[in-house]
Amino acid sequence: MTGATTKAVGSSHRRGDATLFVGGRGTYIDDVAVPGVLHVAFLRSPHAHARIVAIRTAHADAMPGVVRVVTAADLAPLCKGWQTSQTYPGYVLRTQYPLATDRVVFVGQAVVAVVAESRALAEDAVELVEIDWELLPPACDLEGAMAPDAARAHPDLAGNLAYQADVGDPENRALFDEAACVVEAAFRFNRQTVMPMETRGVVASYLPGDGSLSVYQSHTAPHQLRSLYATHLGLDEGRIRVICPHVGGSFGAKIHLYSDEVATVAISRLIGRPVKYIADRMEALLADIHAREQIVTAKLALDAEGRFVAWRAETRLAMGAFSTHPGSSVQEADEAVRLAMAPYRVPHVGGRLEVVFQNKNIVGQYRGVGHPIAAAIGEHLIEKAAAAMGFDPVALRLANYVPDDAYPVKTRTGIDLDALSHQACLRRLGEIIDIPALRAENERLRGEGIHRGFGIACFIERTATNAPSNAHIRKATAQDGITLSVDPSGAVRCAISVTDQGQGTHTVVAQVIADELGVPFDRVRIVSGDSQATPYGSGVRASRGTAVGGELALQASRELRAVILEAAAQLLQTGAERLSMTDGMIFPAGSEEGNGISLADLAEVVHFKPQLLPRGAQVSLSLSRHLGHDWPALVPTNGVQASLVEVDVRTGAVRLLRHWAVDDFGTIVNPLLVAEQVRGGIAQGIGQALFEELVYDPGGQVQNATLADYLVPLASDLPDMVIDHVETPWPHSVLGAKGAGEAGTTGAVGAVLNAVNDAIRPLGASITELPMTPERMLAALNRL
Amino acid sequence: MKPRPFAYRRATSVEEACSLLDGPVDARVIAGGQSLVPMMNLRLVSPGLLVDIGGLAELQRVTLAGDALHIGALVRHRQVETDLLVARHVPLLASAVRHVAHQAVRNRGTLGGSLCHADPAAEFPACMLVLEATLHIASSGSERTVAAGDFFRGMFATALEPGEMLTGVSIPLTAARDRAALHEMSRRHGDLALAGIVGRRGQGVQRWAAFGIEDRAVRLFHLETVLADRPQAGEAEMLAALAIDLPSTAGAGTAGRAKLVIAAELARRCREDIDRAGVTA
Ligand SMILES: Cc1cc2nc3c(=O)[nH]c(=O)nc-3n(C[C@H](O)[C@H](O)[C@H](O)COP(=O)(O)OP(=O)(O)OC[C@H]3O[C@@H](n4cnc5c(N)ncnc54)[C@H](O)[C@@H]3O)c2cc1C
Repeated sequence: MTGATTKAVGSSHRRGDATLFVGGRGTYIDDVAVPGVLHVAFLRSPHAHARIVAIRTAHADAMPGVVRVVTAADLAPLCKGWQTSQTYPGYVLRTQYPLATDRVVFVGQAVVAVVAESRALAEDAVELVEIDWELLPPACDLEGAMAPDAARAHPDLAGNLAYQADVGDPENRALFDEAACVVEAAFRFNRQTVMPMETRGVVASYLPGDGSLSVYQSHTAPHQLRSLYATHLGLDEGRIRVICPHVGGSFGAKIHLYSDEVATVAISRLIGRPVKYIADRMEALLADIHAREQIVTAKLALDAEGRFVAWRAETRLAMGAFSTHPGSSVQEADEAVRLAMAPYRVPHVGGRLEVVFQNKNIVGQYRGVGHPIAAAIGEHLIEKAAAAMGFDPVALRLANYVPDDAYPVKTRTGIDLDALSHQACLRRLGEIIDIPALRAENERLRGEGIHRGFGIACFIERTATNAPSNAHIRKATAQDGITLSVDPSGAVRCAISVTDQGQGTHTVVAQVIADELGVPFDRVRIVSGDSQATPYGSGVRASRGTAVGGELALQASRELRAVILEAAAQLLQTGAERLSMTDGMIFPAGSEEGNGISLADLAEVVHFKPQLLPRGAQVSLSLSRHLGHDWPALVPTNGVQASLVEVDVRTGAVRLLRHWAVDDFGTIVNPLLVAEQVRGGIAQGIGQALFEELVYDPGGQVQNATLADYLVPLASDLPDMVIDHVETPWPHSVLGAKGAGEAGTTGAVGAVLNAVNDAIRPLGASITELPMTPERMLAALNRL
Repeated sequence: MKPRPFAYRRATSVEEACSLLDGPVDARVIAGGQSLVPMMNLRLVSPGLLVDIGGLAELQRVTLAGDALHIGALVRHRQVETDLLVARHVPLLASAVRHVAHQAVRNRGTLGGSLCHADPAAEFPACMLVLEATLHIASSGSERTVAAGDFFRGMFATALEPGEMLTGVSIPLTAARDRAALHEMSRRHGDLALAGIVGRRGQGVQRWAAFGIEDRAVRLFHLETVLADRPQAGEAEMLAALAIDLPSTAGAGTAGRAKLVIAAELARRCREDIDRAGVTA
């Protein structure tokens, strides 16, 4: 037998493509070169709500270098418009078009497109387009959205309510009236956006005569795009190819389809020439999906022993002018209400959500989708209750958790949970931090006028969407597919429907294949992101890359391994059951070196000298497999985070001192990549807690659409992070991996919120509006 | 995010730069480009001609001239940070520059650019106020000087007339050697200040200024009087003085109130530093 080999799964392989990216050799959307490409710039609405009275394009049309000025009327014959695919009973929807038709409904909405020989010329020409507007009252006030006299985002609707639902148990006031302790709070989560480093972009090339369409797009789901473009543009899907080149981050921004993207593709169809549109940073801030804006009231009732008795949360989400497409905007609010308190045994859990139209940009699905809010509201009230009743917040949680051995359970809000480990995670946190000592030190420092706070938040994530979970979203989540093949050199090629936006999906899939086949990691090559080259599937969203892609790779590899061993058995004249493959060498069990055959030699025989194999034994060293609904629709995960902060009570500044995370992602395929996901996620959660806010004025104007004013945390603003794990493998897959992409964001918001409140609670202060800016902190501290 | 079309000329002397600025088209000096280029890309400004002064070696020097330290307009922030004459004679600037942006920006941004750009939240204009610096201005065929106190006229607005450029600043050494301190608050490290205070205390002299609060760097005359009378004036007294010195902020609701509260605390910290020996320590 050969010597010891390193198992690929469980080791921190560096990303195979890191050299490419660090060396500046990636091919991002703006690097895609199509001969003769023209450039698109959009005139975007300067008004939150206005009727378009007239558009005059003559000056722009006449400008040298301008090829075509395009309005909604030009595209109307090509595109009928669309509504969100993900529908709910009673969900009021408005049709979106590539360009605004008769009315604009948010600042930044695309109205006119200019196609020119360069982007600079296109931008010059945009300034020459004249539009007569008739201003309409903007609906931007979330608190007052439902007032009878409130301005309506869409005047043809009776009001601004797009969707409402009651979840879980109906309100039972008696439970709260009679409880030993009730804590409640009103929260405001302000609007933010996603901010992948690479902005969105499309290069579309429609070939007249041939009728084929190639679309390059910075996106996570090429097959979904292909289907959507076929539907929205009335084209034959068989003649469309969508390629997602290297993608510089998505975090949800690039799982949606935007009107400017459909417009760009439609323009190529209209003029029969290749066109490119790259969103600039201001467009990204105005028109990439926004997220989170919700006002929430919540209350928790406890009995005298500290047992949770009842919970209720009501939220109102500022959806914006449309619902996102294809996934809806409702999810952000729905997940927030359904998942709050899901880690705990609470006999009565109920809530209500309202989703309202506003003359603001669309709210969509950003990393965590509702889960950060679920965790923040539940965990904040738990720590508040602990303080009110004099309980230790760790003990209070342990006393109320659904025990780790009680799963599977269904929550009172209808969510299936399995294989979670809240107790184990919190205990592990207690092992890596001496919490009583830390609290004592904070207490001591308080005597010196230093206000430190320590906060914990535990949470549940729902990850790895599977086909059945989104059965109600037309063509959103399909079964996933993989094709594996061994080439004559013995290298293994993998084409897979899950994609990679920098998080390392390719590396993880290659690790699983290397292990399951028994070949070296660097002999595995992955292709994804091309609708022509890989089987149909759903790409990446909801942390599904490893849980779904890894499982798919595992199952296909096992089958291919059987094929390989069967072929080798023919050549070695032995039984396949006696063979195994390690490091690309196939040996009979217990035999000496030299008695085996390498995968490369076997592959050479299969490809070039099939006559050496017995007659009739046609060997196919490639196979395709698909993964549909072999497990529950979503894979739940859990974790706990903790944060230590110092509050400068004289300026309202919050300094982050340290951050800890203990997560249960089931089987960890690559610890390094998981840690990077958690760290990056925590950074974004900290962004929500302390920095990021898109400020709209009451008239619907965005006040801070540059990166000088919209503050994303920088590396220098972030604390040291300690990352640890509990591993409860997902019992419904063979690999056992769960989604790890969003947990960091989900837990960080509540952890920082709780830490800040822990610091200021002794001063009689409390804060429940995010981000916690100096001004809000000073107000909370009663200093204004 | 592309600028409108513009012409570009690289000047080889101050005279040439001035004559280019004097022409019929709307011309602008470009120095480090760290503020001008983003504004052009956002199409907030669209000069017809950029006059690049980057090659003018005579504007890149720090020199001792009599009882003043002269700093050329083209001296980069990085140079302010590392220059021995600055460190020795105007330690306030050497310490203030560490609050200006990040290294990459400091490598290109210039002192003159910062003063002429006149961002209300920039550090250097406020420093010039408390140091009572003199600004040297050139135009085709003539030169003049303006006291820092008369130079800053509003948001991104200065006393420069069309056709004029800044060649440098002179900082009186007596002022520069006084104890001084700067404190600012910004949401993220390296950002422009949400509020900032700079103070200097010499023999019978109090010079204080605020930045990031009003529409320009502002001398705090009332605070100076209060501190001259009662060096250890309490928080409430300082806050009251600031409310007079910063009237539009005081009238700007909770956001303005928050700035004042923060400013008072920053002023207290400056005083504490100055008591302890200031940045010369
Ligand atoms: C990310 C970032 C962070 C920043 N943070 C800070 C900060 O914290 N604090 C801070 O103070 N600044 C900050 N800045 C601004 C920076 O300091 C700039 O360098 C400075 O404001 C302008 O200097 P410049 O040489 O780049 O000028 P330019 O951008 O070239 O010019 C700015 C303006 O001044 C004019 N001008 C320049 N030189 C002259 C001259 N000699 N005579 C006449 N007019 C002239 C130009 O015409 C233009 O209008 C930041 C910039 C960036 C990009």
